[in-house]
Amino acid sequence: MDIEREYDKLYRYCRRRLGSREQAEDVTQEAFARYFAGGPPGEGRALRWLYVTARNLCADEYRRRKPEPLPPDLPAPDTSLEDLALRQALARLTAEEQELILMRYVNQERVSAVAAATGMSRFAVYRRTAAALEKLRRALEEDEP
Amino acid sequence: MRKKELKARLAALAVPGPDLARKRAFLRALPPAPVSHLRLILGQAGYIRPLTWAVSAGVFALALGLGRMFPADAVWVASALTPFAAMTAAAETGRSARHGMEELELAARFGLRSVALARMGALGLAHLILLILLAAESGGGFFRTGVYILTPYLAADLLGLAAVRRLRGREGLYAAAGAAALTAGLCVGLHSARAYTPDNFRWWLLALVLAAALTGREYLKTIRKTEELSWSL
Repeated sequence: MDIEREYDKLYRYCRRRLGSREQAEDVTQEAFARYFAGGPPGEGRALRWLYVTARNLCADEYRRRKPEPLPPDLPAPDTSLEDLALRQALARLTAEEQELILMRYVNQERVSAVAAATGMSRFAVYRRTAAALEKLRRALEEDEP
Repeated sequence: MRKKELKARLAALAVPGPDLARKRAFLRALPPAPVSHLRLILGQAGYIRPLTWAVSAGVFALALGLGRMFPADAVWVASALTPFAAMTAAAETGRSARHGMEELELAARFGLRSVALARMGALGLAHLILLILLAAESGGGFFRTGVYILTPYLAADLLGLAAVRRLRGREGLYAAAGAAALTAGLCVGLHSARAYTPDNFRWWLLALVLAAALTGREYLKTIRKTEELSWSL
Protein backbone atom coordinates (compact mmCIF):
# COMPACT_ATOMS: atom_id res chain seq x y z
CA MET A 1 0.00 0.00 0.00
CA ASP A 2 1.33 3.42 -0.98
CA ILE A 3 0.62 5.25 2.28
CA GLU A 4 1.20 8.76 0.92
CA ARG A 5 -1.17 8.25 -2.00
CA GLU A 6 -3.82 6.57 0.14
CA TYR A 7 -3.54 9.36 2.71
CA ASP A 8 -4.37 11.92 0.00
CA LYS A 9 -7.31 9.85 -1.24
CA LEU A 10 -8.72 9.38 2.23
CA TYR A 11 -8.26 13.06 2.96
CA ARG A 12 -10.20 14.00 -0.20
CA TYR A 13 -12.96 11.61 0.85
CA CYS A 14 -13.16 13.08 4.37
CA ARG A 15 -12.95 16.64 3.06
CA ARG A 16 -15.93 16.00 0.82
CA ARG A 17 -17.88 14.61 3.74
CA LEU A 18 -16.93 17.14 6.41
CA GLY A 19 -16.14 20.27 4.49
CA SER A 20 -13.53 21.49 6.94
CA ARG A 21 -9.91 21.00 6.01
CA GLU A 22 -8.82 20.63 9.65
CA GLN A 23 -11.57 18.14 10.51
CA ALA A 24 -10.78 16.13 7.37
CA GLU A 25 -7.11 15.99 8.32
CA ASP A 26 -7.93 14.97 11.89
CA VAL A 27 -10.22 12.18 10.73
CA THR A 28 -7.73 10.95 8.09
CA GLN A 29 -4.97 10.80 10.67
CA GLU A 30 -7.22 9.07 13.19
CA ALA A 31 -8.16 6.40 10.62
CA PHE A 32 -4.50 5.77 9.78
CA ALA A 33 -3.50 5.76 13.45
CA ARG A 34 -6.15 3.09 14.16
CA TYR A 35 -4.98 1.07 11.17
CA PHE A 36 -1.39 1.11 12.38
CA ALA A 37 -2.34 0.44 15.99
CA GLY A 38 -3.19 -3.11 14.88
CA GLY A 39 -6.21 -5.22 14.22
CA PRO A 40 -6.58 -4.43 10.52
CA PRO A 41 -7.75 -7.12 8.09
CA GLY A 42 -5.67 -8.79 5.41
CA GLU A 43 -3.47 -6.85 3.04
CA GLY A 44 -5.97 -6.69 0.18
CA ARG A 45 -8.74 -5.26 2.36
CA ALA A 46 -6.69 -2.51 4.02
CA LEU A 47 -8.08 0.24 1.83
CA ARG A 48 -11.69 -0.82 2.39
CA TRP A 49 -11.00 -0.96 6.12
CA LEU A 50 -9.60 2.58 6.03
CA TYR A 51 -12.58 3.93 4.10
CA VAL A 52 -15.11 2.30 6.42
CA THR A 53 -13.23 3.60 9.48
CA ALA A 54 -13.05 7.07 7.94
CA ARG A 55 -16.76 6.98 7.10
CA ASN A 56 -17.64 6.07 10.70
CA LEU A 57 -15.30 8.71 12.07
CA CYS A 58 -16.82 11.30 9.74
CA ALA A 59 -20.28 10.35 11.02
CA ASP A 60 -19.06 10.74 14.63
CA GLU A 61 -17.49 14.06 13.78
CA TYR A 62 -20.64 15.21 12.02
CA ARG A 63 -22.72 14.40 15.10
CA ARG A 64 -20.24 15.96 17.51
CA ARG A 65 -19.61 19.27 15.78
CA LYS A 66 -21.66 21.49 13.58
CA PRO A 67 -20.37 20.73 10.11
CA GLU A 68 -18.99 23.63 8.16
CA PRO A 69 -20.54 24.15 4.76
CA LEU A 70 -18.21 22.91 2.06
CA PRO A 71 -16.54 25.96 0.58
CA PRO A 72 -15.98 25.88 -3.13
CA ASP A 73 -12.40 24.82 -3.78
CA LEU A 74 -10.61 27.73 -5.28
CA PRO A 75 -9.05 26.61 -8.52
CA ALA A 76 -5.33 27.02 -8.93
CA PRO A 77 -4.27 29.99 -11.07
CA ASP A 78 -3.10 27.66 -13.85
CA THR A 79 -6.39 25.70 -14.00
CA SER A 80 -7.49 25.16 -17.58
CA LEU A 81 -10.89 26.26 -18.87
CA GLU A 82 -11.77 22.60 -19.39
CA ASP A 83 -11.08 21.83 -15.71
CA LEU A 84 -13.16 24.83 -14.64
CA ALA A 85 -16.08 23.61 -16.74
CA LEU A 86 -15.72 20.14 -15.26
CA ARG A 87 -15.76 21.53 -11.71
CA GLN A 88 -18.86 23.57 -12.43
CA ALA A 89 -20.61 20.54 -13.90
CA LEU A 90 -19.58 18.44 -10.88
CA ALA A 91 -21.03 21.03 -8.53
CA ARG A 92 -24.44 20.51 -10.16
CA LEU A 93 -24.55 16.84 -9.10
CA THR A 94 -26.06 15.74 -5.78
CA ALA A 95 -23.76 15.13 -2.78
CA GLU A 96 -24.03 11.35 -3.22
CA GLU A 97 -23.27 11.55 -6.94
CA GLN A 98 -20.27 13.78 -6.27
CA GLU A 99 -18.98 11.32 -3.68
CA LEU A 100 -19.33 8.38 -6.04
CA ILE A 101 -17.59 10.23 -8.88
CA LEU A 102 -14.82 11.35 -6.54
CA MET A 103 -14.16 7.87 -5.19
CA ARG A 104 -14.55 5.94 -8.42
CA TYR A 105 -12.95 8.23 -11.01
CA VAL A 106 -10.89 10.87 -9.19
CA ASN A 107 -9.54 8.59 -6.44
CA GLN A 108 -9.69 5.64 -8.86
CA GLU A 109 -10.96 3.20 -6.25
CA ARG A 110 -12.31 -0.25 -7.01
CA VAL A 111 -16.05 -0.81 -6.89
CA SER A 112 -15.60 -3.02 -3.78
CA ALA A 113 -13.87 -0.17 -1.91
CA VAL A 114 -16.57 2.31 -2.96
CA ALA A 115 -19.27 -0.15 -1.89
CA ALA A 116 -17.61 -0.66 1.51
CA ALA A 117 -17.19 3.07 2.09
CA THR A 118 -20.67 4.07 1.02
CA GLY A 119 -22.50 1.08 2.48
CA MET A 120 -24.07 0.30 -0.92
CA SER A 121 -24.10 -3.00 -2.74
CA ARG A 122 -21.64 -3.42 -5.62
CA PHE A 123 -24.53 -3.46 -8.06
CA ALA A 124 -25.89 -0.19 -6.65
CA VAL A 125 -22.44 1.38 -6.94
CA TYR A 126 -22.18 0.31 -10.60
CA ARG A 127 -25.65 1.59 -11.39
CA ARG A 128 -25.48 4.90 -9.53
CA THR A 129 -21.94 5.70 -10.67
CA ALA A 130 -22.89 5.10 -14.28
CA ALA A 131 -25.96 7.32 -13.86
CA ALA A 132 -23.87 10.06 -12.17
CA LEU A 133 -21.30 9.91 -14.96
CA GLU A 134 -24.00 10.19 -17.59
CA LYS A 135 -25.51 13.18 -15.74
CA LEU A 136 -22.08 14.81 -15.58
CA ARG A 137 -21.52 14.20 -19.30
CA ARG A 138 -24.85 15.78 -20.18
CA ALA A 139 -24.15 18.74 -17.89
CA LEU A 140 -20.84 19.32 -19.65
CA GLU A 141 -22.45 19.10 -23.07
CA GLU A 142 -25.10 21.63 -22.04
CA ASP A 143 -22.38 24.05 -20.97
CA GLU A 144 -20.50 23.78 -24.24
CA PRO A 145 -21.19 26.69 -26.57
CA MET B 1 -18.00 13.86 -25.16
CA ARG B 2 -17.36 10.13 -24.80
CA LYS B 3 -17.45 8.53 -21.34
CA LYS B 4 -13.88 7.26 -21.71
CA GLU B 5 -12.65 10.80 -22.32
CA LEU B 6 -14.65 12.09 -19.36
CA LYS B 7 -13.17 9.43 -17.05
CA ALA B 8 -9.67 10.42 -18.18
CA ARG B 9 -10.42 14.08 -17.44
CA LEU B 10 -11.73 13.19 -13.98
CA ALA B 11 -8.61 11.12 -13.24
CA ALA B 12 -6.43 14.08 -14.21
CA LEU B 13 -8.52 16.64 -12.28
CA ALA B 14 -6.42 18.52 -9.75
CA VAL B 15 -8.16 18.17 -6.39
CA PRO B 16 -6.85 20.13 -3.40
CA GLY B 17 -4.83 17.85 -1.17
CA PRO B 18 -3.97 17.94 2.53
CA ASP B 19 -1.46 20.23 4.16
CA LEU B 20 1.87 18.77 3.08
CA ALA B 21 3.85 19.66 6.20
CA ARG B 22 1.21 18.19 8.53
CA LYS B 23 0.87 15.10 6.39
CA ARG B 24 4.63 14.46 6.33
CA ALA B 25 4.99 15.02 10.08
CA PHE B 26 2.17 12.54 10.71
CA LEU B 27 3.47 9.88 8.32
CA ARG B 28 6.99 10.17 9.76
CA ALA B 29 5.66 9.40 13.23
CA LEU B 30 3.78 6.30 12.11
CA PRO B 31 5.08 2.83 12.97
CA PRO B 32 5.75 0.45 10.05
CA ALA B 33 2.63 -0.87 8.33
CA PRO B 34 1.27 -4.11 9.82
CA VAL B 35 1.93 -7.20 7.73
CA SER B 36 -0.16 -10.37 7.56
CA HIS B 37 1.38 -13.73 8.54
CA LEU B 38 1.14 -15.04 4.99
CA ARG B 39 2.86 -11.96 3.58
CA LEU B 40 5.62 -12.23 6.19
CA ILE B 41 6.21 -15.90 5.30
CA LEU B 42 6.20 -15.17 1.57
CA GLY B 43 8.50 -12.20 2.09
CA GLN B 44 10.93 -14.19 4.21
CA ALA B 45 10.89 -17.07 1.70
CA GLY B 46 12.69 -14.68 -0.63
CA TYR B 47 15.53 -14.31 1.89
CA ILE B 48 16.19 -18.04 2.12
CA ARG B 49 19.39 -18.72 0.21
CA PRO B 50 18.94 -20.02 -3.36
CA LEU B 51 21.39 -22.80 -2.45
CA THR B 52 18.99 -24.01 0.25
CA TRP B 53 16.11 -24.16 -2.24
CA ALA B 54 18.39 -25.78 -4.83
CA VAL B 55 19.58 -28.49 -2.39
CA SER B 56 15.99 -29.19 -1.29
CA ALA B 57 14.73 -29.38 -4.87
CA GLY B 58 17.76 -31.46 -5.90
CA VAL B 59 17.22 -33.99 -3.11
CA PHE B 60 13.56 -34.45 -3.98
CA ALA B 61 14.28 -34.58 -7.73
CA LEU B 62 16.97 -37.22 -7.11
CA ALA B 63 14.60 -39.28 -4.94
CA LEU B 64 11.88 -39.06 -7.60
CA GLY B 65 14.31 -39.89 -10.42
CA LEU B 66 15.84 -42.87 -8.61
CA GLY B 67 12.34 -44.05 -7.66
CA ARG B 68 11.32 -44.08 -11.32
CA MET B 69 14.50 -45.87 -12.39
CA PHE B 70 14.30 -48.48 -9.64
CA PRO B 71 10.63 -48.73 -8.64
CA ALA B 72 11.29 -51.63 -6.24
CA ASP B 73 13.69 -49.48 -4.20
CA ALA B 74 11.74 -46.22 -4.49
CA VAL B 75 10.49 -46.14 -0.90
CA TRP B 76 13.70 -46.73 1.01
CA VAL B 77 15.75 -44.59 -1.39
CA ALA B 78 13.34 -41.67 -0.82
CA SER B 79 13.46 -42.40 2.90
CA ALA B 80 17.28 -42.27 2.90
CA LEU B 81 17.48 -39.07 0.87
CA THR B 82 14.97 -36.86 2.71
CA PRO B 83 17.29 -36.28 5.73
CA PHE B 84 19.41 -34.10 3.45
CA ALA B 85 16.40 -31.87 2.78
CA ALA B 86 15.81 -31.69 6.54
CA MET B 87 19.44 -30.61 6.95
CA THR B 88 18.78 -27.50 4.85
CA ALA B 89 15.82 -26.57 7.09
CA ALA B 90 17.88 -27.01 10.25
CA ALA B 91 20.84 -25.12 8.82
CA GLU B 92 18.59 -22.20 7.84
CA THR B 93 17.57 -21.64 11.47
CA GLY B 94 21.18 -21.08 12.49
CA ARG B 95 22.04 -18.75 9.63
CA SER B 96 21.79 -15.53 11.65
CA ALA B 97 24.16 -16.87 14.31
CA ARG B 98 26.54 -18.22 11.66
CA HIS B 99 26.96 -14.76 10.17
CA GLY B 100 26.94 -12.91 13.52
CA MET B 101 23.70 -11.08 12.64
CA GLU B 102 21.55 -12.06 15.65
CA GLU B 103 21.77 -8.73 17.48
CA LEU B 104 21.13 -6.72 14.35
CA GLU B 105 18.14 -8.88 13.40
CA LEU B 106 16.71 -8.57 16.91
CA ALA B 107 16.64 -4.82 16.48
CA ALA B 108 15.16 -4.93 12.97
CA ARG B 109 11.52 -4.30 12.04
CA PHE B 110 10.74 -8.01 12.13
CA GLY B 111 12.54 -9.52 15.14
CA LEU B 112 14.77 -12.55 14.86
CA ARG B 113 12.02 -14.73 16.32
CA SER B 114 9.45 -13.74 13.68
CA VAL B 115 12.00 -14.08 10.92
CA ALA B 116 13.16 -17.51 12.12
CA LEU B 117 9.56 -18.71 12.45
CA ALA B 118 8.60 -17.36 9.04
CA ARG B 119 11.57 -18.99 7.34
CA MET B 120 10.97 -22.30 9.12
CA GLY B 121 7.34 -22.05 8.02
CA ALA B 122 8.21 -21.28 4.39
CA LEU B 123 10.79 -24.05 4.10
CA GLY B 124 8.71 -26.52 6.11
CA LEU B 125 5.68 -25.86 3.91
CA ALA B 126 7.70 -26.34 0.72
CA HIS B 127 9.20 -29.57 2.10
CA LEU B 128 5.79 -30.81 3.18
CA ILE B 129 4.42 -30.33 -0.35
CA LEU B 130 7.45 -32.13 -1.83
CA LEU B 131 7.17 -34.94 0.77
CA ILE B 132 3.50 -35.45 -0.11
CA LEU B 133 4.42 -35.52 -3.80
CA LEU B 134 7.21 -37.99 -3.12
CA ALA B 135 4.97 -40.21 -1.00
CA ALA B 136 2.35 -40.24 -3.76
CA GLU B 137 4.91 -41.01 -6.47
CA SER B 138 6.95 -43.65 -4.66
CA GLY B 139 4.19 -46.28 -4.59
CA GLY B 140 3.56 -48.78 -1.80
CA GLY B 141 0.55 -46.95 -0.34
CA PHE B 142 0.44 -43.23 0.39
CA PHE B 143 0.17 -43.46 4.19
CA ARG B 144 2.80 -46.19 4.62
CA THR B 145 5.28 -44.48 2.30
CA GLY B 146 4.54 -41.17 3.97
CA VAL B 147 5.54 -42.62 7.33
CA TYR B 148 8.74 -44.14 5.88
CA ILE B 149 9.70 -40.80 4.38
CA LEU B 150 8.60 -38.46 7.16
CA THR B 151 10.28 -40.38 10.01
CA PRO B 152 13.90 -39.96 8.83
CA TYR B 153 13.09 -36.39 7.74
CA LEU B 154 11.94 -35.47 11.25
CA ALA B 155 14.79 -37.41 12.89
CA ALA B 156 17.38 -35.55 10.81
CA ASP B 157 15.59 -32.26 11.47
CA LEU B 158 15.64 -32.98 15.22
CA LEU B 159 19.36 -33.79 15.29
CA GLY B 160 20.19 -30.89 12.97
CA LEU B 161 18.24 -28.38 15.06
CA ALA B 162 19.87 -29.61 18.27
CA ALA B 163 23.29 -29.31 16.66
CA VAL B 164 22.64 -25.81 15.28
CA ARG B 165 21.28 -24.65 18.65
CA ARG B 166 24.26 -25.93 20.62
CA LEU B 167 27.13 -25.24 18.23
CA ARG B 168 27.80 -21.79 16.86
CA GLY B 169 29.01 -20.86 13.40
CA ARG B 170 29.98 -23.34 10.72
CA GLU B 171 30.42 -26.12 13.29
CA GLY B 172 26.65 -26.25 13.66
CA LEU B 173 26.25 -26.55 9.90
CA TYR B 174 28.79 -29.40 9.71
CA ALA B 175 27.10 -31.15 12.63
CA ALA B 176 23.69 -30.83 10.88
CA ALA B 177 25.22 -32.31 7.71
CA GLY B 178 26.70 -35.11 9.82
CA ALA B 179 23.29 -35.75 11.41
CA ALA B 180 21.69 -35.97 7.96
CA ALA B 181 24.37 -38.39 6.76
CA LEU B 182 23.95 -40.46 9.94
CA THR B 183 20.18 -40.68 9.48
CA ALA B 184 20.57 -41.55 5.79
CA GLY B 185 23.10 -44.26 6.74
CA LEU B 186 20.67 -45.59 9.32
CA CYS B 187 17.98 -45.83 6.62
CA VAL B 188 20.36 -47.82 4.39
CA GLY B 189 21.11 -50.08 7.37
CA LEU B 190 17.39 -50.50 8.07
CA HIS B 191 16.82 -51.45 4.45
CA SER B 192 19.57 -54.09 4.70
CA ALA B 193 17.94 -55.37 7.90
CA ARG B 194 14.60 -55.61 6.01
CA ALA B 195 12.95 -53.08 8.28
CA TYR B 196 10.77 -51.58 5.48
CA THR B 197 8.22 -54.39 5.79
CA PRO B 198 4.57 -54.40 6.96
CA ASP B 199 5.61 -56.46 10.03
CA ASN B 200 7.73 -53.61 11.34
CA PHE B 201 5.35 -50.81 10.41
CA ARG B 202 4.12 -50.30 13.98
CA TRP B 203 7.74 -49.54 15.02
CA TRP B 204 7.93 -47.00 12.24
CA LEU B 205 4.72 -45.40 13.49
CA LEU B 206 6.11 -45.27 17.01
CA ALA B 207 9.34 -43.75 15.73
CA LEU B 208 7.38 -41.15 13.75
CA VAL B 209 5.33 -40.07 16.77
CA LEU B 210 8.49 -39.87 18.90
CA ALA B 211 10.42 -37.95 16.23
CA ALA B 212 7.51 -35.54 15.70
CA ALA B 213 7.19 -34.84 19.43
CA LEU B 214 10.92 -34.34 19.93
CA THR B 215 11.25 -32.18 16.82
CA GLY B 216 8.38 -29.99 18.02
CA ARG B 217 10.14 -29.65 21.38
CA GLU B 218 13.39 -28.78 19.64
CA TYR B 219 11.66 -26.06 17.58
CA LEU B 220 10.23 -24.61 20.79
CA LYS B 221 13.69 -24.58 22.35
CA THR B 222 15.11 -22.85 19.28
CA ILE B 223 12.41 -20.19 19.45
CA ARG B 224 12.91 -19.79 23.18
CA LYS B 225 16.59 -19.23 22.57
CA THR B 226 15.82 -16.22 20.37
CA GLU B 227 13.59 -14.88 23.18
CA GLU B 228 16.47 -15.22 25.64
CA LEU B 229 18.67 -13.34 23.21
CA SER B 230 16.23 -10.44 23.11
CA TRP B 231 16.28 -10.27 26.94
CA SER B 232 20.07 -10.18 27.03
CA LEU B 233 20.27 -7.27 24.59
